[in-house]
Amino acid sequence: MLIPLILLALGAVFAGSIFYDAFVGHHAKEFWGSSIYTAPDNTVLKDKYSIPGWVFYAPLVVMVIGLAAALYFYLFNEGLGKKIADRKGMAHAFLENKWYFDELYEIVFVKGARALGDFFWKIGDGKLIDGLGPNGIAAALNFGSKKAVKIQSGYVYHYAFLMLIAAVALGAFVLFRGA
Amino acid sequence: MDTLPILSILTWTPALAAVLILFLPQLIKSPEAARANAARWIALVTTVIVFALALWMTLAFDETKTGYQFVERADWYGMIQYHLGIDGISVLLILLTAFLMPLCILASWTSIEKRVVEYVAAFLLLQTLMIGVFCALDIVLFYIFFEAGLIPMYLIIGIWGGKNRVYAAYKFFLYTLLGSLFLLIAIAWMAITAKTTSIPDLQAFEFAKNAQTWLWLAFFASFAVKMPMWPVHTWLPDAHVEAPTAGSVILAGVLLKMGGYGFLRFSLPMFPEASNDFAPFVFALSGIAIVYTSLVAFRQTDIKKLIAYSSVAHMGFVTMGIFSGNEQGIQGALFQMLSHGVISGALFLCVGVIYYRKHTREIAKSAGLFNRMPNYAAEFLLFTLGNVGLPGTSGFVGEILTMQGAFNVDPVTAMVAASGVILSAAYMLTLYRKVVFGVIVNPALSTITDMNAREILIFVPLIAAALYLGFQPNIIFDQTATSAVALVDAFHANFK
Repeated sequence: MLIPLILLALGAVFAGSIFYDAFVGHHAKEFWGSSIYTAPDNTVLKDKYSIPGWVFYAPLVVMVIGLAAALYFYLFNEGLGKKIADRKGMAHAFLENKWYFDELYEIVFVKGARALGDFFWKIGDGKLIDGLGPNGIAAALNFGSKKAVKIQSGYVYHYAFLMLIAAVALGAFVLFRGA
Repeated sequence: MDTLPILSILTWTPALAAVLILFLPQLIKSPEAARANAARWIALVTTVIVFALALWMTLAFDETKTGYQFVERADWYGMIQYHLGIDGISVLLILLTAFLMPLCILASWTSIEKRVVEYVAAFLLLQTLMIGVFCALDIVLFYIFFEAGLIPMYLIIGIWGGKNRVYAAYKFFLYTLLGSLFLLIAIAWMAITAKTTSIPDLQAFEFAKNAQTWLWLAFFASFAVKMPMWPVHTWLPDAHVEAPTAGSVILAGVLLKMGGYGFLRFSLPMFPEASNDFAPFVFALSGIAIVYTSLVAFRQTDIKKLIAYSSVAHMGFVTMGIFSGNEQGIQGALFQMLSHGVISGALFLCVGVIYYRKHTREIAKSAGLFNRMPNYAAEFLLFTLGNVGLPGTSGFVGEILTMQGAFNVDPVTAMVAASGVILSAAYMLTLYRKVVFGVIVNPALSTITDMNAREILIFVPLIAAALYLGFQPNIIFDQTATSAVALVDAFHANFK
């Protein structure tokens, strides 16, 4: 385990200085050839020379701050990290939970998909499509035929009454058709 | 082809076997078990022979020619002819039908115990009608095969189905019949107007623009239900849940393809302007179908219902591809139909393996199967990934091509469809995790056994097909290319 780690450590320290020229320095053009295509009016690769000088050193500065902080927390003042964690401050909780991205995704995507799926299934398919479509038509026919059955009461005067109404309606239709 | 009426042989052999099987009670007086066994063997041998013939026909099919091959033509009555023939669009659908049938008979070998004679006869009759649909070149003949197929399927669901089978069978029947009545009216009008019922002649006939609109809608009413497209899809989950395993395989594997076949054979070539006008409408429905039914699939607790909803989503890719009206879209749609026939058929067979053993389709009651059924877990994984559309399985090819085809016409729908691929991964992998992994909680599963030799025999051809088509999709495209290009050219010739 030690030998691979040593090799990786060497690489980590020296890779930058060895490959700088080929990758981003004077020989970059020959190295990349046509692998990186830039449109004629795209100047992003040249623009890097016009940014302020401190930008180049910013990563180094941040790294040194990080290194110093790590040294302080874990070597010079061992246990400080645990102390801060035990206080359970908001910043610590925020970082501990990876900026709450998982929770956010859970609420938005997972629960959202479940809720939408249930809505489409139970309301969309169940109530709307089936409710108004096949089941609705079946229920309407059932209801209609149950009502229609009641007209067939078997009493002669009901039938006579219907005939009378029909005769009046027909008469009215014939009389007022021309009007 | 010379003189051998291969299409008639393919179409009618199963029906003849069905008649023979129905007379078995007269022929064999011995106990019912012997009759059932004889019926199973006759059906198996018949379907294997039909498959061999279909394979031979596919190999003999000249994929470089446009137009119809193996044509048979005889007068029937009036202008209606007994007119059969195939092209690159139908040849592989016939092969798919013939491929799935022996597997269905094998899958029902022990799981169907009552009325076996009638059961296999219904299946054989269904095969006749399905092959008939794909090779009919007379529109009335097509309609007869198309509609008559409802009857055996209605019986298969209604007699050998689950608890709620009668509701499901009626729903299936009425839904499809309602759509088909519009189709019948349209066919009658077309026959009177064009004075022919021959499909090639009707394809060449130029219907007036306003007539095309309502004819397209009438055909759409029938094919959209069959497909099924959102929002006329709700018969499918019920039908699948109640149908016996082999019934589900045929339903998903072949019957759903009749809708797509109808669009390709009738809507696009006969009503090109209307198809073009309605394409945005179909795109919208396809996009909705893909997202909507994928989300519904995500919430299902019944495995069969989940796969049924996933079928609706996958058919959304087919309609999207067809109405993109370009070569990628149409080739992709055809490929997707064939691939879905294999993969969804296999998935329903996977459900059947568990249902036969423990009579449950509940996801929650199936957890931990890996512990007892490693072979099953492996093949179920393959078809799960195939359904997701993983590259290397046949599911990938159709999805990518239909999306490409749609992207040329309507990038928004293509993007919506692409989200469906993610959703399918979500619901299929969730299903797989819940069913296969974990510990066994249902005590009934503690004695469950892995697949037996007969079941493995069923799955081997399906696994081979899903992988082979995934790695060598060209064997399909070689067959379909000429016809697809001809269809696209004829379609676009109308807008120049």
